[in-house]
Amino acid sequence: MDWTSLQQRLLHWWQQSVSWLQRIDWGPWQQRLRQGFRAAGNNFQQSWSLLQPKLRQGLQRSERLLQRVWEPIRQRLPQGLPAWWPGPEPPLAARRIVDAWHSGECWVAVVCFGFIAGILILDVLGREFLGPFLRLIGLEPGATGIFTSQKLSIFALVIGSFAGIGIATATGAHIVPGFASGWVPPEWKPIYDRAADLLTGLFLLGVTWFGLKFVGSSFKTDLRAPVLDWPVWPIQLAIPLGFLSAAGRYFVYAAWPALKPAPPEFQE
Amino acid sequence: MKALALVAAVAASLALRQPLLVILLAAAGCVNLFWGRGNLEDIIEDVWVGLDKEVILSIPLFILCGSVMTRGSIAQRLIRILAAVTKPLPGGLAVATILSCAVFAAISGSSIVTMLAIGSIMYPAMRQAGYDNKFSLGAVMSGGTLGIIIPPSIPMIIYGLVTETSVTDLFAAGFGPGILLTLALSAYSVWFNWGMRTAAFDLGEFWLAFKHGIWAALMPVILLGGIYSGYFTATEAAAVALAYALAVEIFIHKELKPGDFYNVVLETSKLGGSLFPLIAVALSLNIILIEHRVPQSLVDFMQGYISSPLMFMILVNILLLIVGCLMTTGEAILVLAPLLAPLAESYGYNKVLFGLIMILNLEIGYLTPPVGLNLIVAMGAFKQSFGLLCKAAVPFILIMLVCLVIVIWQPWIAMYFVTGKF
Repeated sequence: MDWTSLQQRLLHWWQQSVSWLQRIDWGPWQQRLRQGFRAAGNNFQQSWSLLQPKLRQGLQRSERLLQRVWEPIRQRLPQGLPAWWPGPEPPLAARRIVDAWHSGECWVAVVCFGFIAGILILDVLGREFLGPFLRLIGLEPGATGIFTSQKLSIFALVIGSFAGIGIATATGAHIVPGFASGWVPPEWKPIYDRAADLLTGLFLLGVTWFGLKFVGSSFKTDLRAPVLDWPVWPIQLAIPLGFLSAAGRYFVYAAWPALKPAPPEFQE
Repeated sequence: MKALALVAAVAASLALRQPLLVILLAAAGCVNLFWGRGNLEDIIEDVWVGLDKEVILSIPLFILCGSVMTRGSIAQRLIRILAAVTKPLPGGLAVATILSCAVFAAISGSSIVTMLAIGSIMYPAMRQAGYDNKFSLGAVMSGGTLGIIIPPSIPMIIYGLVTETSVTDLFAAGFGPGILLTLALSAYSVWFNWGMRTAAFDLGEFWLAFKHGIWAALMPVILLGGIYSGYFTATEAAAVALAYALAVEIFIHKELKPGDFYNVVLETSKLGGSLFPLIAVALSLNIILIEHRVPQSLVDFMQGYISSPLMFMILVNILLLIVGCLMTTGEAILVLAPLLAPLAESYGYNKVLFGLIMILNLEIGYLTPPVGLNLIVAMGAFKQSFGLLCKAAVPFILIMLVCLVIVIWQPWIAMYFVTGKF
């Protein structure tokens, strides 16, 4: 069958199936289904309007009860930050340091991810296209892929990802489960956020310590990467450094919340 | 008592709005201290081991590839081709929206990117052509969710990593349900807009659109064809797709300047910085859980109560639909997949099939409040109220639920492209 007759036949089938579909009277079906949806919607609305006042009453009652228990405790708690705590506005030097720090990390990550893309593209193109092509024209090129490209990419991924922890912190890109966000009264939020940042910083500092211990043990045992035979501790060092960078940032945010990026509208 | 302390630690971290990375690290630390050897640097060692996997390299490449392809006018070019094809159908523009989302999903692995790229063009076009507002919003939002079910899909790679399932098989399994959803959503679009005006098929217009869009339309063919034919692994396919995307955008469409590449890579770094350490920590927690036979104990416990695989599947689906309302896809997969996949396997469900079912459930979560990401993003992008968007999504959610039930009932829809058997 030639191309034109195939084209004509396909076009004919297409037109036939469209006209067949158009012959069916969908109107009554559509109407019946719409009626069904409408009836279900009305039923739901009626039951909801009966249930709603009761739910609201219950909620108001429990809110009152909670307030009665909570209010005396709240009055006894400190109402603000101590005087020695840095104010919300950061000094210019702090802002400059944070910006320079961020830009350094961005470059490290860009170089690493660019390297991954470049080396893997060259490896696959060399192996799957250049090699077969050279063999086709009668040459024997040997190995046309890049030796240990995947291992080198994994190393770049580790460095790039852990530089990325700092970038994600600086741009508010970390995934933060949001469903517990309403557990704290809104008037507490400024103090609460700073305390949370301080805690995150301390926690990540602890993780950095254990990371350094892990790197230290690799250094002592002279652990080497298979095939490449490189010592792995310089690459592993990216892990505690990434955590340290994030910890440092959270300390800065606890001190000067104005430097903290606004949380993103959404996180996929 | 120790278990209670673990739950309290997680609840305290949640209340303190800690990042998921910190919550998982804290949970891994607690498990290691309470039930393990108490050697906390083991967690860091597991993080290091967790990242040492070839398939993980495909994630930055697919993200890069998606970023390169979505910078230019690829979406417009694809839409032009598909709008020319669907013109003779009633509701043709709506069908073109769904089909464009499906084709775009085969380039981008993200639901939101797909919805924004297609929706920003098609929503105003549908409104201008007289389509119902609620329907248009629903079509755009539900079409966007195809981004995570039609490969390449980042959630599928994450599932593959945390459950040690072949990513190539998962990609192959996503093809069938992707087609089913595309057909179902397109059929609903035709049915809903039955009274709309149609136009005759114009071969000249189609040819012009095809000429302008052929390079973009070839992308899914190269990407998926390479994976399904077994010629490339997922990582190799991602590398080839990225090379192709760069060549097309720099030399043919001329829409990507070398300077833009810095921003594209930086975007990937941001996403990678939040995702990879998280994956590594989740994998480390996974190793600890397996070491302490937690999934096995869970399997024994569940089998004591539920003997029927069907009952298990119903309960898991209800759980996942609820989780989809409260958590994002990435969070849900990282936290739940390592526990649920062995359970599903013990009830006779294939891990690949279960992964697909899990992602189909979480895909519906993109349209359900309060954390339905497509609803939240659509609110800003199309300037509509949240309530209206929720209502607009309802018929499409029902269709997606029906498709989910069909895939569970007839697993060959997903598994045919993996096993080659009905």
